[in-house]
Amino acid sequence: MANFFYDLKLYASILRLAIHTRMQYRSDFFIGLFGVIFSNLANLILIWIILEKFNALAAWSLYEVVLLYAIWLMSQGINALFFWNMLGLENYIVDGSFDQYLIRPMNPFLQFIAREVNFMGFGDILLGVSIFIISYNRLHLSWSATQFLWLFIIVLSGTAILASIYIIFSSVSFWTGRSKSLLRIGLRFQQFGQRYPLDIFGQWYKVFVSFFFPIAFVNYYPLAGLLSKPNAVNMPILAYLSPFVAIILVLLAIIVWHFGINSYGSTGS
Amino acid sequence: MEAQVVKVPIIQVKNLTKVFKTAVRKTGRFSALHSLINPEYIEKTAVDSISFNIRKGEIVGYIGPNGAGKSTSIKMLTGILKPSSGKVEIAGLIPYKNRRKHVQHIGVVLGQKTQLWWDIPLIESLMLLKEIYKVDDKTYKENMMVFEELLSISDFQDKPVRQLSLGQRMRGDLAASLLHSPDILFLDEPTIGVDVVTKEKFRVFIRKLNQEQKTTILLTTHDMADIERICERIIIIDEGKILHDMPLVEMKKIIKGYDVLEFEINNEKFNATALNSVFGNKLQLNNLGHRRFKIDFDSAELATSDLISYLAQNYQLKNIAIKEPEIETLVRDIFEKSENN
Amino acid sequence: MRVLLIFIRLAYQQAAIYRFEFWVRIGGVFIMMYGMLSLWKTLSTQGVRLGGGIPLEQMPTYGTINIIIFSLLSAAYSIRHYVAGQVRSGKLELDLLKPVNFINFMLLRNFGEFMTGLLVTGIPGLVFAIFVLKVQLPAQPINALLFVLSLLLAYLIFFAFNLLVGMVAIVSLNISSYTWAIDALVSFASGMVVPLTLFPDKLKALLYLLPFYNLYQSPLQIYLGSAHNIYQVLAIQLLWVVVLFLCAHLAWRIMDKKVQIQGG
Repeated sequence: MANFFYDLKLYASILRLAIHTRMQYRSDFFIGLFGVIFSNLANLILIWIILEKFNALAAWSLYEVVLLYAIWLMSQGINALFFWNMLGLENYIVDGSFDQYLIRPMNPFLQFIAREVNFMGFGDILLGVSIFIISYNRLHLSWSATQFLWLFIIVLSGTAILASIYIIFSSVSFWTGRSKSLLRIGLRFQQFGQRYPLDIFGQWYKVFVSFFFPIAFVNYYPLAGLLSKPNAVNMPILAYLSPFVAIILVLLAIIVWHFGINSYGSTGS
Repeated sequence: MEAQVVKVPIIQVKNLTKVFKTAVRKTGRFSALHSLINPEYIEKTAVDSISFNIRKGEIVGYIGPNGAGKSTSIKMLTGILKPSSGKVEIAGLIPYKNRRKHVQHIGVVLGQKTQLWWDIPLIESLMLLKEIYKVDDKTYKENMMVFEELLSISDFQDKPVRQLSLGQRMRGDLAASLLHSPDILFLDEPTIGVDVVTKEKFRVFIRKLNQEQKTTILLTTHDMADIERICERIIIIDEGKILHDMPLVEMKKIIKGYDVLEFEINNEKFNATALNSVFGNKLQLNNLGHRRFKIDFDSAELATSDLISYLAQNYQLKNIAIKEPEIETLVRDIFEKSENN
Repeated sequence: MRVLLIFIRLAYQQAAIYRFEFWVRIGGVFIMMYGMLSLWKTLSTQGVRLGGGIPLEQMPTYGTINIIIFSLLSAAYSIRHYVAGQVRSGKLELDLLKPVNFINFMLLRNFGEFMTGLLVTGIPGLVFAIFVLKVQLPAQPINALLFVLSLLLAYLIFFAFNLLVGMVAIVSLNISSYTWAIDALVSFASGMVVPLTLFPDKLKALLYLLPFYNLYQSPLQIYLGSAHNIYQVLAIQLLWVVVLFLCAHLAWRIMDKKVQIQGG
C-alpha cells in the first residue's frame, strides 16, 4: 500500500529524533554498552567452562558453539536496535499513552517502534561480529562469497524471527493489558536456549523450539548447514528454511498486531 | 477543508453506545482459585445511547462528573474506540473505520498526557508533525505565526519539552494539535493544573480560533470559567446518558444561585437576621462552625461586591474566599431541578 | 503477623486477577526445567569426571531445581523498580520514616509476592520435577528441611541485594542500564547454570568472595547432600543476610541524608 511506504519515510524521520534523544544521555550509552559486553562475556565464559569439562557438546566443539552464539548476537543486536520499544507496549497501553498513535495519520506500528532506538544493540552486534571473526579463524574456516551472502541473509532472517516474537508476545497486552511476564519468560527462555546446540536437548524440547517457538531457526539450523554438520533432527533441508520461517512469523506478527489493535478498539484499557 | 452542505452537522452522533466486559471478582474461600480456572464477566455500559449533532463552528462544552462516560465518548469520536452500537459520523467519515482520513480533520489535546517528544526541543516535534500531517510550508508558516501571536510560542519552542512548565507544555500541545488546521478540535481537560494567566491566554486563543477559522470545538472541563467564557452550548452527561443539551444562556438560567462566598470572622457572634433583612431572600447562609460561614447566592441578583462590603463593614474578616461551584454538584442539582420541573 | 497474612492474601488475589500471567509463569517454569534437565542428562552420558563438589549424576537435579529457586527469587525483582521509582519521584520520604521500618515494610510487601511464587510456581514446579521429570529427592528428610531454610535465607539475601540495587537509582536516574549487567553477574556468579565447583580455580576463589553463590549453589548442595558441612553453608548464608541488611540500612541512611539536603 502506498500509505505504508510513505509511512516508512516518516518512520525514518521519527527514528532520527529517537537517535537525537538517545544522544542526550551519553553516559547511559556507555554504561549500557559496557553492561551488554559484560553480560555476554559472562555467558561466553560459562560456555567455555562447560566445554572445557565436556570437550564437546554432542559433536559441537567450543568454537562452533561460540559461532552459534555469535550469529544469535548479531540478529539480536539488530532486533534490539529497532524493535526495543515493543517490549514496553504494556506500559503505553496501561497508562493510555498508546492512544496518541491512533490519532495520527500514520501506521501506529511504525510510529511506535520509531520512538526508541536502543543503542545497546550496537554492543550486541559489535561483540557478535568480533567473536564470529575469532571463532572463524580458530576453526580455520574458509567460506565462499556465496556462503557469506547466505550468512547475511540468515542474520536478517534471524532478526525478523526474533522481532516477530517480540511483537506477538507484546501484543498480548492488547487483550490482557499485561505482557511483561510473558516477555520476561520468553526472553529468559531465549537466552537460555539460544546458546547451546539443539542436539543436547530432549525430543520434546527440539520439537518445541523448532515448530512452536522457532528460535532454532535463528542460529542453530542454518549454522549446522554452513558447517556441514548433521542437525539434531537429521533433516538437512531445515538449514535452508530460515528465511521462510521468518516470512511466516512476520505474517503471523502482522496478523496478531492487527487483531490486537482491533481488540484494543473494542475494549480500551 | 472539504466543501460541505451547510445544513449537515459536522459531528453526528446517534444512539452511540459502548459496553465494556470486565472480569468479576468472586467472593468466597476458593474464589481466587476459581477465577483462575473459570472466570466470569459482567457488562458495564459506559456510554448509553447518546445522540447529538454539532454544526461546524460551534463551541460545545461537554461536562459531567468523573466516570460519567466523557472520555469514553470522546475516544469514540476520535476513533480510538469502536462503538458497541450506534452511529458516529464526523465530517462525513466514520472515525474508527476511515481512521487515516478522519484524523486529518481533527486535533486532540489530552490534558494530562502530551503528544510531544519529551527530550527534544518543541519545535522539532512540530516540524515532525508537519511532515506526518503533510502540512504545506505556507500553512505551516501561517499557523506558526498565529501560535506566536496568541501563545508566544517562540519564547520556549527551543527548549526540550521536559523542561517546560505545565502552561508552556499545554500551549505546545495546542500548537501541535492545530498545526494541520483541523476542522474539529477535541480538548479533554486541557487546563488542569495550569496557571491563571495561561488559562486566560488559552481562552482568548480558542475564541479567536473559532472566530477566524470556524474550527468546531468540543471541550471537556471542570473549570466553570472555561465554560462561561468559551462555550456557547453545553452537553451534560452522567452515568453514560445525556442529561441536558442546551445553549449556555439556558444553563445560566438554571444555575442561578450557585455563587459561593466562604469567610471566617474574628467576632464572637454573627447576626444572621440582620444579614437577611438587608439582602432579603437573595442568599442562603450556612454556619460551618468555628466562626466560619458559607453564603450561597446568585451574583446576577446580588452583587458580590455589595455582599463583601457589607461583611467588611460589620465584621472583622479573618478570611474570605469566592468559590466556584463544582461541576459535580452543578450536574446533580441540574438533574434534580429538571426532574422536579 | 496478621499483617503478613493480609499481604499474602493480597498477593494471591493479584495473581488470580492476572490469570493469563499465572498460566504463562507456570508453563515457562516447566519448560525451562525440562530444558535444563535435557541439557544435563545429555551431558551426563558423556561420562566425564567432574572433579569438584557435585558429581555428574546429580547435575540434572541441580539444574532443574535451580529453575524453581529462580522462580521463587524472581519475586524480589520488583523491589528494584519500586525503590528506584520512589527515589526518582522523590516519594521515598513518604514511605515511612525510619530505615528499620522501611525495610520491614518492603519485606512484608514483597513477602506476599514470594509466597505467591511459592504457591503458584514453587510447589507445582517441585511436584512436576519430582513426579514427571523424576529428579532425585533430597538426600535425607533432614536435607529437605534444611533446604527450605536455606531457600529462605537465599531469598533474604536476594531481597537485600535488590534493595541496594534499587537505591543506586539515587546516583543514576535510570537503573535499567545497570540491571542488565547486574543480572548477568548474578546468574554467572551464583552457580545457577553451572556450579562454581567447576570453575577454574582463580575465578572460583574470586567468586566465592561474592554473596551470589549462596543464592543457588548453597541451597542445592544442601538438597543434594553434597555439602561438606551443611551447618557451615547455612552459617555463611546467615552471615551474608546480616551483612547485606546492614548495607541496606546504611545505604538508606546515606540516601536519607542526601535527600534532606537536596530537598527530594
